[in-house]
Amino acid sequence: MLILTGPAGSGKTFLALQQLREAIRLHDDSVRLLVPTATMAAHLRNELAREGLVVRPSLIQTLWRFIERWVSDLPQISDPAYALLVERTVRRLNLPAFAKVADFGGFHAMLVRTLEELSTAGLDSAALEKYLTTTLGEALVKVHREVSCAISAKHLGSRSDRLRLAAERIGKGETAELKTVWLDGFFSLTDPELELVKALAAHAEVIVTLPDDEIASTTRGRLLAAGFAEKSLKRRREVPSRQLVVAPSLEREADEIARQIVEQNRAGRPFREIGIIIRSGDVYVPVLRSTLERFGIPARFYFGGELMEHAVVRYLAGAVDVMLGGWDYSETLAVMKLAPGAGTSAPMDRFDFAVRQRIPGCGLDALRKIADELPYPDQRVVRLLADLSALESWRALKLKPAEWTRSLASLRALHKTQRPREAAGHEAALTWRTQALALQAFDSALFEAALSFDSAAAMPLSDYWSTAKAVLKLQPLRVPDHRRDVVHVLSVHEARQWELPLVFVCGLVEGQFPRFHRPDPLLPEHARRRLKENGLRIRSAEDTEKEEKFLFDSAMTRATRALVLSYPKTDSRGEQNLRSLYLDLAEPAVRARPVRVRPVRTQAPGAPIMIRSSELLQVIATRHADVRPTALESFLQCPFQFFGRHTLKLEEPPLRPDQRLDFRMRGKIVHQTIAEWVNTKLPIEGIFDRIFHEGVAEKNFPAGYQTELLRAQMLEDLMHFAESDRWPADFESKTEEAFTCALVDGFSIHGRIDRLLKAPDGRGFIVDYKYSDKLKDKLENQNLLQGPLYALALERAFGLRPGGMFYCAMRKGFQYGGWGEQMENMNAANVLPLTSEWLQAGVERSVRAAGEITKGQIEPFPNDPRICPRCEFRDVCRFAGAGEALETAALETAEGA
Amino acid sequence: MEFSAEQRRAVDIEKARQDTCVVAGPGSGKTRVLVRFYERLVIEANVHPDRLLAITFTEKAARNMKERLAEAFRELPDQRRQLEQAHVSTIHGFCARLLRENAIAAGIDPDFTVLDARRATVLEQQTAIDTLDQMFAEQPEAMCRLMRGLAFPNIASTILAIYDGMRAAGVRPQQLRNFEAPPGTELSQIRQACEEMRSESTWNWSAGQLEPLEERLEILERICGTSQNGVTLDGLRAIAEFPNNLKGLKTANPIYARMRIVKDQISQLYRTLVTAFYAPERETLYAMFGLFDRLYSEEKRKLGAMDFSDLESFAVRLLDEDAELRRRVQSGFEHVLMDELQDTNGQQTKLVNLLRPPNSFYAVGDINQSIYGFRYADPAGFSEYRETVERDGKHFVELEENWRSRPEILSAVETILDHADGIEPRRLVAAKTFPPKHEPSVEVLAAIGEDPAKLLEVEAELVAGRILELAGGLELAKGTATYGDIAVLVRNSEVVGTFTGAFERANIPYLLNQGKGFFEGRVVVDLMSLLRVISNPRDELSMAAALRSPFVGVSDEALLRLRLEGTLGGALRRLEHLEAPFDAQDLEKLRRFREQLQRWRDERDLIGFDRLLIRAMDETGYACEPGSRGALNIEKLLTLARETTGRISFSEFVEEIDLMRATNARDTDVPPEDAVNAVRIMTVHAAKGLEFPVVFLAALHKGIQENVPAMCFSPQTGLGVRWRNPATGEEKSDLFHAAVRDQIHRREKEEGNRVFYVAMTRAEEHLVFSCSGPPKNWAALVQKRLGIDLTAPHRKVQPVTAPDGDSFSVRVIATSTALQPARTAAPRVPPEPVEFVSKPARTDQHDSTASVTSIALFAHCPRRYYLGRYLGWQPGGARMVIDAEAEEDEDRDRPGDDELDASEFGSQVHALLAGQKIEDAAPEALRLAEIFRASDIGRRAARSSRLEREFDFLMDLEDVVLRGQIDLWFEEAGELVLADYKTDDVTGREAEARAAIYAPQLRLYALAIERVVGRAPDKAIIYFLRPNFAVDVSLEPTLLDDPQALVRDFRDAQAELNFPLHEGQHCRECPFFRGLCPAGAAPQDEADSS
Ligand code: SF4
Repeated sequence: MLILTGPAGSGKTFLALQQLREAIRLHDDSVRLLVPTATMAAHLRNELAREGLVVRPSLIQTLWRFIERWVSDLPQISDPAYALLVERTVRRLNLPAFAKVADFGGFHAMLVRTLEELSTAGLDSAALEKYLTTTLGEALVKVHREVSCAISAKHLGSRSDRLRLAAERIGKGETAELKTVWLDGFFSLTDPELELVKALAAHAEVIVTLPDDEIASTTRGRLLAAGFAEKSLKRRREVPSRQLVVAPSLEREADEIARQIVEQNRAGRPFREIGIIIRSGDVYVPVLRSTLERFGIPARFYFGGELMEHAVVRYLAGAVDVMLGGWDYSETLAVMKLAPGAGTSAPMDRFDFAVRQRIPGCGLDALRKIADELPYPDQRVVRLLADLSALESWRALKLKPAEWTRSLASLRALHKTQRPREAAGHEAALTWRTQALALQAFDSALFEAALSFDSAAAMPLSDYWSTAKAVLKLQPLRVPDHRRDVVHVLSVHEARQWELPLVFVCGLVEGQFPRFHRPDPLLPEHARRRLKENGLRIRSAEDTEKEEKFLFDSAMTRATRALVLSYPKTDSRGEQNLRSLYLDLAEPAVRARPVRVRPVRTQAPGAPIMIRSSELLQVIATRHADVRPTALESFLQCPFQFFGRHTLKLEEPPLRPDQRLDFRMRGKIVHQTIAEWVNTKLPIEGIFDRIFHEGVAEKNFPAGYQTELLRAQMLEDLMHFAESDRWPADFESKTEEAFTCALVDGFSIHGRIDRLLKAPDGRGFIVDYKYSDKLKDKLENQNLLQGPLYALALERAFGLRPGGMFYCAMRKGFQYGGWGEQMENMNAANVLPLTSEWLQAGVERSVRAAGEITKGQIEPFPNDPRICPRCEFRDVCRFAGAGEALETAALETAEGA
Repeated sequence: MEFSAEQRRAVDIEKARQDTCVVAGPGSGKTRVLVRFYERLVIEANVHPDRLLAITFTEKAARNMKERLAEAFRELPDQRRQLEQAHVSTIHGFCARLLRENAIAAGIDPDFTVLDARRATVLEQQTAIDTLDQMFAEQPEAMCRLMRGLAFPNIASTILAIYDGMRAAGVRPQQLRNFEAPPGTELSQIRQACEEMRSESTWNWSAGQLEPLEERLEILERICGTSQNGVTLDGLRAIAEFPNNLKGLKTANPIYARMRIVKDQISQLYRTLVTAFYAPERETLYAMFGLFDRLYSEEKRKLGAMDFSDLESFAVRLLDEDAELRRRVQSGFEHVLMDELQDTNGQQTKLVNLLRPPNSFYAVGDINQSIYGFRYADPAGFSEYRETVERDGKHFVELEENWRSRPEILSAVETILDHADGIEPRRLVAAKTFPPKHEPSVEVLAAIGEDPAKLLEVEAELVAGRILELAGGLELAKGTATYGDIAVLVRNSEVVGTFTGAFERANIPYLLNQGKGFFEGRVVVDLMSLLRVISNPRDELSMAAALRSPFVGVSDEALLRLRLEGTLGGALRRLEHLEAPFDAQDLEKLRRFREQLQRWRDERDLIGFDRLLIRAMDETGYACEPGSRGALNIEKLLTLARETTGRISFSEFVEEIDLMRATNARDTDVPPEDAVNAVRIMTVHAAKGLEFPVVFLAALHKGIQENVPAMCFSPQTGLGVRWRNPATGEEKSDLFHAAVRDQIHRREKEEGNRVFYVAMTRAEEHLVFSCSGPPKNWAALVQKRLGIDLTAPHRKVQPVTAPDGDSFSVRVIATSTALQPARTAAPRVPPEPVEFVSKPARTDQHDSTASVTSIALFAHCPRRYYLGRYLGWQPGGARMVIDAEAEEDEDRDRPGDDELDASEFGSQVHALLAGQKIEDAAPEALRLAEIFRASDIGRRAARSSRLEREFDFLMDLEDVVLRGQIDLWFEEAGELVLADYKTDDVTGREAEARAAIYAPQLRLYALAIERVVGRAPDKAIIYFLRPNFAVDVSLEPTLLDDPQALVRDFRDAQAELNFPLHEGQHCRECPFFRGLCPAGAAPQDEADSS
């Protein structure tokens, strides 16, 4: 009965291992070393084995596994089962104190945490009841009692139940063959653990090592009181070198760590001698994972992920969700895109676009129809849909939980695993391993879910599924990685027993290390203090703080040769961080050096923006021998825009529902309506209604306020137009008149005139309707060619004398503007004379433009960068100014105004 | 530095038990004062930091304060540690903590997340759309009327702006109805006026005068003719016709006088009528806000999230409604310290009032620096507090000394804003001493000329030219000025592009602190294009963008050639079959990209999105200079990617970012590193709280947009709307709108001056104004107050006398051409050199431990081992229960853990033979156990002198720690025997073949036994229980079957991940045959129709 206290590096573990070595040599099976974590147990066992010993695994164990032989008849309740139990209990009890929060997942999680804390501390309901007298406290005790009863009713036990039972049985003498038991690596023992230790001590020599830190004082006190003797050890190891690094950001901090690791490794230090200790896994694990991978550093992360976050599970669970939800298009699509293989196939890409055009909507049959209607129907999508539709049959069923588990196990078949690539590297192998594990864990979660039901009555899938999903959410995903030479990335807790030559401790900023402790609204500070004052071992804020400090000190002492501390100056949002208050403020920090992995290849140099190949120029010349005036305008506006729109003819991806009735579409509807109205003179509302509804059917404008708003607005504008559209009665009016006319040799233009009016005297007038409320730009912009070219067409294609070419802006009260004779019906402020110079200038510009097009001129150069924000090629053209214009446009609303 | 007398007064600890108000002018050292006061409370008054609440305006300020406190408590470890949990935070930070601690009482999810502005905006916008849709579905008529009444605006965004305002003021949607309409003009007043005018005599009016009078009276009567209370279309038509002048009327008579009054009243009457006419639509709007509030709250509830306003409103509600809690919280704090009180909004003021214990509120503020009115800050809260403190004779201190700027600069501020609206007269006393300077510290640059479009560019050139001169030329107190000492502040960020353009040309390094659209930045656009292609290569625009980007970098000719072959994506996929004569380089790039793309797509959901992006960047060599804007934006995008991974799928992630880009271009760049030597460009608002040696205040002529939107809100008046006159289409403010508009205009006027004040006082040693064109807005003010001319080209240094009599000089440069700076392109400070490292060589990548059965399996077929064991594909389904000790479990080499001998049943037999009791053991298992016991070996074992069953062990071989479990070994009659029993269902003949598979396992076991006992076993047996058949295994090491060599092979295979197939007859029984294993035909679907 001995306590060994001493600081890090005083050789406590060494002494224990010494005794184990001796025992192994003597084939003595009566010594045990008990440690807190499984990885540590494995690590120590391997260490002995590497010395050439044949090691029996049971020599070094976790406490949890050690007690197993005494309590195998009282299995421990699993974490998910416990959480489900708590949640059900709260719902069933329906306590007024929790009424406002009973539905929150966060509340359940908190309740689970608090109850677990109470249970680990070994507190029972009776003890709590005495001191927790507030409404909240009483409610908490009630839940605690109910949950404890439920656990024992299921013939299960909590961790402390099992410890107590083991202690009791050991106390009865069921441990004869053990002579020595070491407990190493614990810094405080809970009451049930202490009971176990005491029980063991009655039969065997028990040696407990403890850090010489305040944190261990209670445990130490209790052990001394139980008759343990104490021996304290001195530090023997040398103090390692220490460096503090400050990096501009989180990424750069990770880069710096990687840089130093590479440097050290190059100097001969194996990766396995290096550890990275982190306090906030959620912040650092992802960034270290990608950075270490980037630098080619093999690393093992001692952290679990969340099962529910894995694509495999999201795919399988998602399939059930979308089925239950009635096959919503976009959700189903998202799930289908997760299907291995099929989800990334070309047919799926096509299907993806086809469905996106029809969103919103739902229904499996409709989706299948979309798949069937694809231009190249493909088996992969069809088959996938068929596989999914098998789920449909579950909708009507009622099954027992176990039966559901069995049925859902067939979901696995949906996962058509892709064959691993050959020679793809260890990271890729880990990815595959993770997939495989996720699939297995999915099955076992279903199994777990079935167990958690109280009754075996048949139920619909939705009931079963909500439980199964809860289990999936609670299930961690741990991926084993046993590579020999890897950097160890450890949490502070895990690292407590590790010692490595080179250790990095990162994220030393306030709020992370020390971490803000999460307040517990269920068992607030004052309640905790009260329990504590009455001798119950529950942690107060002060204890939490002490523990945090202990963890920090412990992390600082893990290195045997060199310790590198680091923190980022700013957080992920770019806000300044405050360096950890635990650091000595005077400690000088060195700056992280900018570093990059030598790239496999350098960035591709930009190719000249030009078409030069004669055969391509030929293609262009042919393609654009006959163009629309608007295309020429686009060229003058920006050659690249023309190239994208008219030469490459790049198509835009499907529009979101709210974008479908965009200005182009509205313009189209208005044009069609006017054309028909001019021709038929039927009431314009009727015409508009019909055309609009055709649009709804064809383009899926979403039903709702916005569509109605735009519809009503268009209708109002059109009615207004129809009321006031008056041309002289003897004018002949035609709409949508197509024309072609040659401009110069080998080059012609074609177009469709919105409205062509012929006066009896042979004059012709053109009206081009614009569904906008601005005309000024149209008249001032020298690069617009529609005016002169249409006027030219009057002459050349229709044999009319140009009387006028007008734009009519249709929105918010209509307005004409253009060139020619001002007519009475025009509410026109902007009518310029139609002169032959103007015509000529337009033609010349067109010809020039045509010439440049055929020369392969495509360089982005917007005539007016203000158009760039609305140009569909703004991401493609890489025109520097385009970004600037965009940024400025983005700013206009940003400040002040 | 010593504290000055007034600063000492401000930190007087004797007065700590009084409410204190410190008015702190710019540069007066208020943070120092706050920190010092806090420090004294802790050290001298012994207040535990836990009992102090210090609230700052920004998180940056909070951190700054904490940092300084940590420094102050350096020698006091206890206090320093206590700081960790100290309440030094923003209001939001405080609320979040309060709510977390009291989540149950507040009725919120204890694990709530705080939505960042980006997510909140997206959510709000979506909810606004849903609200409108739902309203429309439920009351189509009312909504159509509303649409018409509002002249078809897109109100979704207006709803949000107003809702934000309401929440900032603490007004709930249901309270909107409580606002009464501001007084208007009653019809009866007009009616009476009409009657009076009618009754006046008009005998001396000419016909020409009578006609307009009659016309007006007739209109008035038509207006009044509408019924007593209601309003009709006729009335609204008539009122629009009423002339807004008195033209033609006979002057100087009672009618004229009366009509003049009526004319003035009529506009107000118009508003009154419009207000009345649209009363039902107003109700619809109220209902709409109610619904929006409900839906938005539900949405957030579902997500377990809160936005920033929620933090405040929930905290206010919690404290307001729960008196007990309020008492507890209040008594928890002995002192409340608050910075920038003038910037709090109505809701925050409420909160502070609920929190502060009596007589120990310490507030610092300055009305002159209140510039957040547009975000609903309400400086009245501060004024009132100051008045109470002054009135009640509590502790009041004014800090007038300025420890930041040169006296000339302060004089300029005072001169320009002397008695300006919204500026409280308070002296700026220069307190810091600077070395003498012969140059003027204040300059004005004005671009003048004809072409208004080009003027701003000239101004930008002027500024750039002057920066080139000053950087490296101007002597500052600390030495020669560098780019990093210079800031360019603008009021209206619209102009930023022009300035950055000029800086680019002049090769001036600059950093935009704020405001640039993150999503529009080059690298983000590039990366997003690539992500879209990975999501779906049919997205032609993104494909073209990616192909043209440095990720691929093909020529436009190649692009065209691809396109001529079909869709870009399709053609790329069929690249090998295309006959187009691609340029060799292009072809190489395309091939590589095609291969990469397929890989990225396969991986897209399996690895983190950030890892995917990194891989793509590294494989293509895409990179930016560290510390550059691009590099910072990459980091920001990576963070976004990282945070999203796992929450949604890859394609959803891409959509989400697209949506963010579409809905909210307001996302800003990451703030750059301080250390970068570059000119900072930012808005004045962003510069608040900062200071720079040299400040340029650019584009002074630019005002801000003053249009008041068609719907607006103020906490005093409520909801104002501009409606459309249904009879004429004309838009008209209702009574509310008119009142709100006036308030906004007044506020903007005052706030405009204060923004200017804040802007100028950022400068420490040198202040340069610049403007272009005819002096307007601030430029006009500068011209007038400094008495300078900004309209004609000239250059001179002009003396100016400040209101207090001090004089200073101003250098004026008014010109139509850009400056010819003495130096062009000052050398850029070279960026810190980047160190390039190569990836290290990896060795020892084999597993450090392995089970003996794994080795045996490997010996049998390496690929099968790889797929089934190493990667863990277990075709049969799950057998693994994942729990905390799974890894330890894995270390075991259990019977039944092998696909070759995998069955629950097998383990039962082993357990039985190990002597364990099994309650419901299968009869067949019992039978097999009995068979063994009765066998020759079984009987020998029973007689043995030394025996181990289920002997598990670890041993090192060739740097691999092997785990194994030996079924049985014993020593009997001097013979050391090793036995392994198998439950395989095989015939006797097959057993021989099987035994060959198991043999390596036994040889390894033998090795372990040899190490334990000191000599090798004499005999090894595999016992097939089913056919009851024992096979001897030779333990003689052969060249082919040396266990050591086997482990070496195994280790190398793992290190290289090279697991060859071992094809043969047995493949047919292998679960991976023709599936994951390429052995045999490869039926995996790889065909692609297109
Ligand atoms: S964004 Fe501007 S530069 Fe780019 S293609 Fe469009 S118009 Fe041309």
